[in-house]
Amino acid sequence: MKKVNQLFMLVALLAGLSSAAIAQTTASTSGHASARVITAIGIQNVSPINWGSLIPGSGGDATQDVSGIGPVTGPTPQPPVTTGGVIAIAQGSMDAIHTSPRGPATFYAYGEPNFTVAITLPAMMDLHRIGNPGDILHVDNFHHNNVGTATLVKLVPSDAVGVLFFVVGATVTVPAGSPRGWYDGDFQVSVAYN
Amino acid sequence: MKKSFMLVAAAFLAFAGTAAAQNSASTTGHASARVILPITIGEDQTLAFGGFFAGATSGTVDIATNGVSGATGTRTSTGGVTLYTGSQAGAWHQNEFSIEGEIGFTYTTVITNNTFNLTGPGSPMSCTMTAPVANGGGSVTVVGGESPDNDDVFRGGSLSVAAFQASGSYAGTFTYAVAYN
Repeated sequence: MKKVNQLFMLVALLAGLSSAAIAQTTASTSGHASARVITAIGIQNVSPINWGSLIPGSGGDATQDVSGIGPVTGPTPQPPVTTGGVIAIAQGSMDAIHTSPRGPATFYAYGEPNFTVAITLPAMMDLHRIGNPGDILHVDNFHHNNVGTATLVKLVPSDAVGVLFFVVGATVTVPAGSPRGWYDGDFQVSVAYN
Repeated sequence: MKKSFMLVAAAFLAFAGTAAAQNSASTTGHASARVILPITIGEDQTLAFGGFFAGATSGTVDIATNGVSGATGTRTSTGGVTLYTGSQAGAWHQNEFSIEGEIGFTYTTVITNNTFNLTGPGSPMSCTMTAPVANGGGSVTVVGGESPDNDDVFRGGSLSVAAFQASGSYAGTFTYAVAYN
């Protein structure tokens, strides 16, 4: 019986040595690969800037301001209320009819959740009178209400994309004697991932 | 007569000497052994394709190695894929393994699944590893069709991206093995 035990121990020892020898001449491990497909960014215009009805008088500037609108981002961002708003009149005797519809332009950007974006506004543009495009009102001072980090946020946790609502204001200059009528024009707003 | 006697005596002495050598003899034998280092492998840097946009047509994201430890390599795309290079792109870099073993020994590297899938929220994306590139600065030599190499082995990869590939994070694994020749 004793010899049987010794034989068993010897076999076990040899097997152990053999296994160790094999393990030392080869080695393997797992490599890892990763990728991230990012949702393309997009932007949608909801409403235009509307300065409402302006009476030129001796001329002046009307600014559709966005101060006080927002915040429109956060854990549960909501579209901003853009009716009304502040019309600031500067210079001259121009007046605004505050009962007429007015408000800043409204946009929302959408894309990869929690990504931050940069908003780019034009420096200036012109409004052309409908029916007589030669009559022009100059617009500048474009600004938006996202003064901090603009982040795309999911409206609900299950959403695949994040959104960012923001509003854009600007200043229109109405010279004295500007012909009455409707003026309009387009301006470009861009968003890009930082 | 005198000459004949001397020849007989010399033959006798020679015979006597031979008989004495057959009774005992000795020489020096030699034994040797060499203890070698076990070969080991470890992943120093994963293969990361970083962030990109899938397009309306299929394409690829490709990571090429440059053989420099800790470096990113080069990232390019083909087809409808657009690389995102902004600050939120996430890390992208070549794959790097560190192999250590006995100085001067040769080894062979093998990826058992050279093509594998990265899985995530959308359909799996196929990834094919590129041939290894070495930095040549270590202590082990590669043979057997692999690159001349020492301690660090670098690999890139090509990731196939379908048209309108669903956005999200994808991941996969492969097995990297080395063996002394």
